[in-house]
Parts: sequence; C-alpha cells; structure tokens
Amino acid sequence: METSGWGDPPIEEWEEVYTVTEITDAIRQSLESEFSAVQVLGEIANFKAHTSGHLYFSLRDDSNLIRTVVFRRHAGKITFGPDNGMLIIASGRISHYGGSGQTQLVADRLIPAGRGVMELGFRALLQKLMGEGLTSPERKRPIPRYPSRLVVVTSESGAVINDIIDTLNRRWPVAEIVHIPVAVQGPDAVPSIVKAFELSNRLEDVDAVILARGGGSIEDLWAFNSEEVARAVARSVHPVITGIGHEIDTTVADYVSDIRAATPTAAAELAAPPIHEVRNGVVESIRRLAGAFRGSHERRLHLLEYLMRSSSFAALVHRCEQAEFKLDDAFGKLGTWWRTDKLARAGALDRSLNAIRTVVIQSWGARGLRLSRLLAGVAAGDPRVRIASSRGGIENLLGELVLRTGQSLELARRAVQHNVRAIDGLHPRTVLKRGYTYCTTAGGDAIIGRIGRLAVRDDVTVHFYDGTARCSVIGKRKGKSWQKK
Amino acid sequence: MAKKMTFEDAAGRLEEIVRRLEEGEVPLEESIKLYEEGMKLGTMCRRILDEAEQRIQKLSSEIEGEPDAG
Repeated sequence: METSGWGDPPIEEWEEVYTVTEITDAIRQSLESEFSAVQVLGEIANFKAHTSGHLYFSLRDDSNLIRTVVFRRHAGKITFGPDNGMLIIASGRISHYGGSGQTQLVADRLIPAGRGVMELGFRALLQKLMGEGLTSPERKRPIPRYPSRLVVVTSESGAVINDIIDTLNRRWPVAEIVHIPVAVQGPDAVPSIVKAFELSNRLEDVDAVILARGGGSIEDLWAFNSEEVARAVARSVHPVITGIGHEIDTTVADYVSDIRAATPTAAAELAAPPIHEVRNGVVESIRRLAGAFRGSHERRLHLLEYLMRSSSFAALVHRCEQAEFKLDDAFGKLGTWWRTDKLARAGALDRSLNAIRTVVIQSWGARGLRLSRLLAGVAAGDPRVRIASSRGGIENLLGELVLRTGQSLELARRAVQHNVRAIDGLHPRTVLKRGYTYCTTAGGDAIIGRIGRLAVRDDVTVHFYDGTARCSVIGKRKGKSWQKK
Repeated sequence: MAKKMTFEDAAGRLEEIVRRLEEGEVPLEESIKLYEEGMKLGTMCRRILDEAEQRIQKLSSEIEGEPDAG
C-alpha cells in the first residue's frame, strides 16, 4: 500500500465530490425543504432598511446569530417599527446564499415577541388615558335607540363591512349608512382611522359611529391600541360603538369608546333595533293611544250625561226663566211707576234696576255684567226712550243666553260624541238608545230645549234613536216637573 | 321649515303622548289635540318602517389605505 497523505483517492470515490456550486445548491435545497416554514425568536441587531425597501438585520440570542432578510413586498405589512434590540418572532423559511456563503432566514412576517412587551405598552397607555378620565363611565354617551344615520369606519374590503351592512339592513333599514373606508392594519391604519373620525365629526345628524375590524392576532389589532386612534375615538363628536376583533380582544379604543361590542356584527346590532319589534311597539302605542283617549271621553260623556240629568242643571234653566219673569214683572211695575209719580219714579227705577241687576249678576255671572251695563245705561238716559229699546235688548240677550247655554251644551255633547265615534265607531245615538229623546222644530233645524219656545199647535219633530216622530203640541205646562216627580 | 322629524323624535313624542293620556287629567281640548297628534305620529312611524330602504354612501377619508383583510 504505497499511499501518501496527499495521494489521490481511489477513483471510485470521486463520484462523491461536489463542486462548490453543487454543494451550495444541495445545502439550499436541503435547508429549504427542511425549514420551509419556521418561526425564530431573537433580538434584532444590525438593522438596516435598504432603499430598495428590503429589510436586513441579524437575529441573535446570547451565543448565536442568523442573518435575516425581509423583502419589500412583506416589509410593507409590518405593523410596528422594527429596530435594534427589539425582541421579535420572525416567520419565514431558511435559505442559503452561495454568493455570500451565508445561511439566511427569509422572513415574511415579523411580530414583536412576547405579549409582555405589548402588554406593557398597552397598560401604560390605558393608565394614561384613564388618568385623563377618557375611560370614565360618565363620558359614555347613550346610543340613540332609533338611529337615522350611522357612520361605519372599517376596511373597504373583507367580510366586516358586508356583515355590518347585512346586519343593519336586516334589523334597521331605516338608517342611512355612511361608510368611510380605512386601512385597519399596516402603516396607514392609524392615520386613516384618525382622518375618518375627522371626517365623521364634520357630518351632521349622525347618531353613532361604528368602528370595526375583524378578528386577527393582537399584532393585527395594533392600530386600535395606538394613542392616536384612542384619542380620535375619545374626541368623536358622535357616540362611538367599537366592534374590534373577537370577543376576547379588548383594545384601548374599546376602553374609550361609548360602548364596546364583542364583534363587528354585535356592534351593528347594538346600533340597530330589530325593526319588527319596533313596529310592534308602534302598533301597541297606537292601540294604547286610542284606548286612553276613548277612556277619557267615556268618562267625560258619562259626566256630561249625569250633569244634564241632574237637578242642578234643571235648576239652572229654571233660574233663568225666573229671572225672565222678574224682569217682565219689574218692567211692568216700571211702567206703572212712570205714570204715577215722576219724583218717586227715579228712585224706584234705580231700585228695580238694581234688583234686576242683582238677579242677573247672580244668575249669569260675567254675562250678567253686560246686562247690568245695559241696565246702567237705562238709568242714565231718558227712561222712556231707553227702556223701550233696552228692554228689547235685554230680552234678546237673555234669550241668547238661554239659547247659547242650551246650544253650547249640545255642541259639547256633539263634539264628545263625534270624538268617541271617531275613535271606535261608537254610535252617536247611544244616549238616545238609553231612552232619551230630543225635540226639534218640524224641519229639524233647531233644537227646542225649553218649553218657552213652544206654543200649542206647533209642529215639532221628536227624535228617537231609531227614528223620528212628527208631533203637534196639544198642550203645555211650564214648571218644575223634574222636582215634582 | 323645521328640521325633518326623525323616527327617534316621532317615536319619543308618541310615547310621551300615550303616557300623558294614560295618566289622565288632560283637559278635553288638549286631549283631542294630543290624540290627533299621536295618531299622526303613529302613522308616520309606521310609514317610515314600512317604506324603509337601506341607503349606503361611501365617503373617502382621503388617505388611500392598502386593501387588507377586514
């Protein structure tokens, strides 16, 4: 065996020799198939953002490091600012570059490592905002129950906006939706959300703003934990409903909003009442309205009937008639006095006028004052002339008063009956059904409310609930029949 | 012309009217007015609900964000 250390190996072993390129390719293929999707925890060192848009840095721990690159198309999606010293988890594949002879991690996603780091930032911000009172319950504004205009701040694409529109459409199509599209992740997210709130603040008649984003990792929700977005939410002119991520996610924006919903769909539900329930409520309100109205008018009608049947009402009519008698009597005496004694005449006139005035005032209150003024006019002037004309005036007035009293009661009665009928079709002649009748002139155009307006042989019409009767007066009697009975 | 009445306004006023009438002691004339107003509001509310049709408008916030998963 004559072989030296530098001697050629046996020829059959040459087939196992690689060129550098061959071995480089082999290494790359081996690494890429073995480590096609890995996540590596490490601290960033030698960070460099190249003008090409690619990011270069090393990931290291206490004893080792690995070169890492993030290509431009992935770099844009990073939602935080990576920098030296930052602990991150980089996801990607391992590759090997022959040119530099280096093994690299080609990362397509970077996330700050450890919730602890983010948690600290989250707590610090929340603490600060709480200290300013921005999360206090007193600041929470109520959401109008029946909104007519809702602003939705969320991504233009994706399921969230469709889910929200579907929910609002199904539950409450009454409200107009104003969608302000924003980026909900990535570097544009914060400024575009802030801008959206500035825009919505300028809109009028907005009942609420829904700020929503679908589920994602806590890093995806980063924008909603930013101070700028939190302050934009707190500053919103209109109440804000947040529906960010899943139920377990609570962002800083959720703390400062007026109400937090677990999900975007839940946020839409909070803003929109179910329309069929609202419709039922309206129908119920209308029913109660009619019921309450009918109730109050039935009470009034009963009271009116009671009053018209009562002896005090009848007594009122009677007093009126008595006042007329007294007046007639007084005028009769006045004529006698006028003829008998010129001197006595004046005093007697005064006394009798005063007597009339008293009776009239007692009987008629305010209306009586008009009469008494008329009477005062009588006393002041030439009695003969004035008395004649004034008497006519007084009679007219009294007649009018009686008529008006009767008419106004009748009018009130009709109004009430009309209203009751308007509500539920109650027949206006219900009262007549109970046995009452009323009497009008033969033509039916004027109601005869008192016997004084009737003369024997007058033709009248008597109205029953189910018909009328033409009648002729064969006799009449004035008096308090209501009391004798 | 006053601002157009919203459903919120109309429904709120209707509830107030119903409550007042149910409490009673409203004078005759006022109760007629309230009833008429309430009926008008009720009709209006129902009309709003029955004729409701979703309107959507999109407003640009001027910053063009990259489209991403919502």
